[in-house]
Amino acid sequence: MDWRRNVPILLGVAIPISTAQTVGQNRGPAVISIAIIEDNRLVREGIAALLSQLPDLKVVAGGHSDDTVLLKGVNPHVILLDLGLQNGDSLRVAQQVKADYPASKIIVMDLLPVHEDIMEFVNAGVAGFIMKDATLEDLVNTIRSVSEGAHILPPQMTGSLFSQIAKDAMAKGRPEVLDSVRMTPREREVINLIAEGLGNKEIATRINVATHTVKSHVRNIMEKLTLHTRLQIAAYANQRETA
Amino acid sequence: MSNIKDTPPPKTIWAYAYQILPPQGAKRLHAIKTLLDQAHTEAQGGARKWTGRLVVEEQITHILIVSDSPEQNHEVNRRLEAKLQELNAGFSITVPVAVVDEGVVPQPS
Repeated sequence: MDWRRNVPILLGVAIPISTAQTVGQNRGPAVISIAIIEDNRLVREGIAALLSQLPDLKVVAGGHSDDTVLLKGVNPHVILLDLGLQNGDSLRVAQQVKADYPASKIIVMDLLPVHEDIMEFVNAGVAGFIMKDATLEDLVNTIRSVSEGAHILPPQMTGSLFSQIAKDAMAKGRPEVLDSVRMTPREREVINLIAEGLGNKEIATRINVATHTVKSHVRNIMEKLTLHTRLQIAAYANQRETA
Repeated sequence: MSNIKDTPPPKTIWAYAYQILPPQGAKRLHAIKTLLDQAHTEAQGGARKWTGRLVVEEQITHILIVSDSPEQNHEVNRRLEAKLQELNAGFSITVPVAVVDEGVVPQPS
């Protein structure tokens, strides 16, 4: 699984990217067929009109949430699913669509799902999320990336996902999660002194090193925390794939 | 017996970080700094550990949180996240890491 942001802002810190597969290595179809499940007809037809202007995208079906039968015989590569469907049960629709059309990639469209929603949709097999205030470019990039096998999470949701995973980890008390990072004795000492409220200079004095050395320890601690999170999400993604 | 009495079990503390993009200037972070200082003082008053430290780098700004609890949904977390949203700063949060001495198995509280 490959979670990545759908915006170019990326410093390689918070977003785990699987090395097993990249977009460039796994080209999607030459023309991506798309179905749109959206109760609002104007929105549905508007999205279809915008996407149909692009030569590599073709909207092959569109309808409201009670019309998922419209996908029969179409087997779209990508299904755009409105999270705020009028019947309020878009998770059930996502699960049903994924069960009926396992080869199709589902992209959920919404403003900002809450933590639990994100995880439920991820568990239902949703491949990507796009915010309703995203640009057309964001939407097109998400469709193309998802059709190539990537999984897309908007930056606004990454914090939520991290929090949810952390919460799950705490609830389950998985020891492999808690043991998977190693701080050096000095780094642990620095963290302990930070916990006491000491500043860099005070810590430097206490452990008899230069202030810039303390700063270096803090930077290393940050890197390890980030690495820990990356590994955890990679492990989580791996569990999902092998489940 | 006396050893058990004399050696209190080491207290696990937890570290995690907010990662803020794009990096924020010192002026914009003044309100955050104030909030972190207040939260630290409040925690001390309640005999708890909760410290937040700004770490400003060229390409990213971090807030390192060290706490005696792995929970990330404290009132102070919500206040902090609200402040970051006020700044229109995108952020993510890392999972909490137990910081213990070697050989001690951390237990979630």
